[in-house]
Amino acid sequence: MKRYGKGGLFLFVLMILLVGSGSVSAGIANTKHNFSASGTGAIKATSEQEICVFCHFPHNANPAEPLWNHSLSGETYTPYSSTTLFAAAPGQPSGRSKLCLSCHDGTIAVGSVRHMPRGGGGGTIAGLENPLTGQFVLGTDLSDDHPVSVTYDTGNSELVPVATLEVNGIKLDENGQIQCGSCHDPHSDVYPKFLRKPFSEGGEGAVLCRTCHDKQYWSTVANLPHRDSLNQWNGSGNNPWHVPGHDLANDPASTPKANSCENCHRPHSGSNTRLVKDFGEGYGVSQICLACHNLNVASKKDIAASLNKIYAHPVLDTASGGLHSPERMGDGKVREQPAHLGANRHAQCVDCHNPHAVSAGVSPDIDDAGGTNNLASNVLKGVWGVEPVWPGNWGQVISFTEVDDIQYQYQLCLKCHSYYAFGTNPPLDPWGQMRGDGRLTDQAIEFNPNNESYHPVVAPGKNDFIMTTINGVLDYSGSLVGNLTPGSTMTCADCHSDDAYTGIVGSSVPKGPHGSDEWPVLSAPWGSNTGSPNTSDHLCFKCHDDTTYGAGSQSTGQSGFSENGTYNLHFVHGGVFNRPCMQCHSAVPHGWKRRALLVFGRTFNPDPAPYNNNGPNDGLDSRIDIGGPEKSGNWKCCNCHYYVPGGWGNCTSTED
Amino acid sequence: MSVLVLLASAAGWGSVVYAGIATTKHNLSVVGLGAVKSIDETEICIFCHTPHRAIKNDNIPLWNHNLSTAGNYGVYTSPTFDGVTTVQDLGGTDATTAAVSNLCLSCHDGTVAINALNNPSNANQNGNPTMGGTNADGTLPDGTSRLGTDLTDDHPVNFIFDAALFAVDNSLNDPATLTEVVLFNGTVQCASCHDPHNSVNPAFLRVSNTGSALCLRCHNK
Repeated sequence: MKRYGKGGLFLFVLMILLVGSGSVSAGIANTKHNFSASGTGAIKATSEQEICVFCHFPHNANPAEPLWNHSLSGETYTPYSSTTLFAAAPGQPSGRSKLCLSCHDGTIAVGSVRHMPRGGGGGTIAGLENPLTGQFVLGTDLSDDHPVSVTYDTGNSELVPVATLEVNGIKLDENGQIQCGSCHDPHSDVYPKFLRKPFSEGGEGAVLCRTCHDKQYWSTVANLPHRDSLNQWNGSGNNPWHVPGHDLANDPASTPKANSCENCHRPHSGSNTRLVKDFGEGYGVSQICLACHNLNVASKKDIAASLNKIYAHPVLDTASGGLHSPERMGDGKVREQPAHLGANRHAQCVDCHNPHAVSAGVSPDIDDAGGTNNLASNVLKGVWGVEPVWPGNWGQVISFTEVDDIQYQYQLCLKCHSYYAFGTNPPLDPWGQMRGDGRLTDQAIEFNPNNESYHPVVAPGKNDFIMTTINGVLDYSGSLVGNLTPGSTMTCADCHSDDAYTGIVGSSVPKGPHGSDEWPVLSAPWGSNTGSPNTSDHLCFKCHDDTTYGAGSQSTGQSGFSENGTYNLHFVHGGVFNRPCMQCHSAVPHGWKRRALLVFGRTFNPDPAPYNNNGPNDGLDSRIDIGGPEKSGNWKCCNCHYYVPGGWGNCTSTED
Repeated sequence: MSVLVLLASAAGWGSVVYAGIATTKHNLSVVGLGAVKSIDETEICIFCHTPHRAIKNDNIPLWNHNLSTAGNYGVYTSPTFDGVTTVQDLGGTDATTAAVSNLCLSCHDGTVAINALNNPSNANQNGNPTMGGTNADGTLPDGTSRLGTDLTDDHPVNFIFDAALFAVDNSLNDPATLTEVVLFNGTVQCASCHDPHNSVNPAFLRVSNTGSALCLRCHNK
């Protein structure tokens, strides 16, 4: 009982019970591996009648086990490699995989044997003088093939326990290694391609893959479309599928569920990294995603349309397509090196989405129950990000903790948009619209909850929307639209989404920063005129009621920027004098070191671009005391507009 | 291994249609057909059998060819060869313990001269026959039929093929249903596949291997 060891008989009996008549093969004589003249395939001998002899010979065999007779290939192969492989990288094929390659590398005549039939020396059996060609040839480049001659790594939590394999029909060799024969039974074509398992069972595909692979989240996330979807391909664009019988357009047997792992991966000729299929379009691993997520299969959201907008994450950029380079880190988890994220700016779908975990559901919008929040939604399940260690007000964030299943959306965004990726040298704005030195900014600095002000991406905002004026308590929390409250939090995607995104159920426009025709990937117009009249459709007013601002009146919609709670200074500035928001507030309104995102610009000590959008033409006079809470609701014109002859301030202070 | 008993009954042998050993390469007499043959011995059977003073008379009657003294042939091993639990090395045997396959190996391991007989023919005044076509030392010349003393690269022999092996292997046929292929006391021996007296089929195979029929007698592939 060498093969089964202790308890082997029990296992064997179990196998018999499980596989039943499967132990009786259909017979090699009826398979394409019958190369004798009686063979049923196209590749067969002219007259030789023996079947076994093409591979086996009973005497003086090489290698002795399993009495091998086919001439062996002397080729050197390029093995599979991956930066995320948990096991040690494969070396040259060894063991019985070499036997398969003696035909399937395409270098040796199919009929070339060590012993001709019925004895004698080596030779080539007539009719089989040529090597294999076409789809049966793996070649000597095995880098696009599932690794073989690698040890099944029992420490990999994304592989099933090794003890279950043989019971389930997968064979490792005597060294615990995966070989061709782990998945293929060369003597039996009960299942297609001599596989040991059918393509699908119970309508669910990749039966064979899943016998070993148990990807994290795949079996635990409910309603996982990549696993469960019954959508069909409409026949347009690239055929996402390759499995015979499950690769047809408008066919109920050709669905994501029926293809499972093989929706995206292909164990042979998976020409992109990690055996992901590639359509030769040059922009990297996302090609397979967009074969479906352009409404050709996935029916709800047209991600491709968003990515094709003017300002988009560069998923479709061929220059960045190959730069996605995750690695298996020392702790066993897969991430990208920070330096790589910084030096090789790129975005592939899998940078933000985990295809083994993603399911429908985006972060709530302002009109949803409870308003917005800052949690990572279903579409971001199982992706990694970073949680900063927050310094004091406007401090440089230099310390981060990697998070392998983000809880908050910003943790995802910050892995690329902060010091974590680019240190103190942010990259240039690819669209050349940033003020100042043209560089992007560090969003970890900006959303630091220890800042004086920020949009509530990391923590609820510091503006309590309730204050005491000399005319009583002023509560303008109602100026927050929808179900927002002063305690609401939000995601980056609440502002950075497709400009056509409406949140309307059934719309094909996705939420999220895939792309937009508004710079920089904003879900509504925004710019240096936002806040002046006729900009009610601009971004800010999706959350901040425009009647409190430029579209209001002097006597209504009082906010903290009012005179004694009765004179709406926001309206006066925006609605009367055409002043945009960024005349006083930061032009990068993520967060700022001063309260209420107010920037200084006039006179001396101006705040720098890009926070101050336009130098001395924007921002407040740096001599203005904006810090005192007594200002809120009790501003006076003369706080800013000093007494000048003929002026209209009535403050006691004068220009010093 | 305990004493082996020739399983093939008279009825069993009788079911085979003989072309006659005289027309095979195993006719080593002066009228033999092969390259290896005697230049002075006219008897055919004498190279293997003798009616008197036989070396061994249990497995194959009245054995006459001197046995090999090879100590260790090794055995075929494979992760999928479950007969490994019963297979026994054919080396180190003597006349009392020799298995059927040891008789074949007395020529085919290449260590014993073809003419090394225990009881030469009375009719040959030279005693042991004088051979032609052998190596200088009288042994079988190099070629497919000279297996040498390393049997690790040859199909396993001298192991029990019974219901238990059938059950555990998962790709064999039930030994109870075998036809023409012969087991010797339940074991596989050289003569399970080869009939030394009959070369109607190439390589003295008991069954034509067209369609690999011989292999598939046992192997369910």
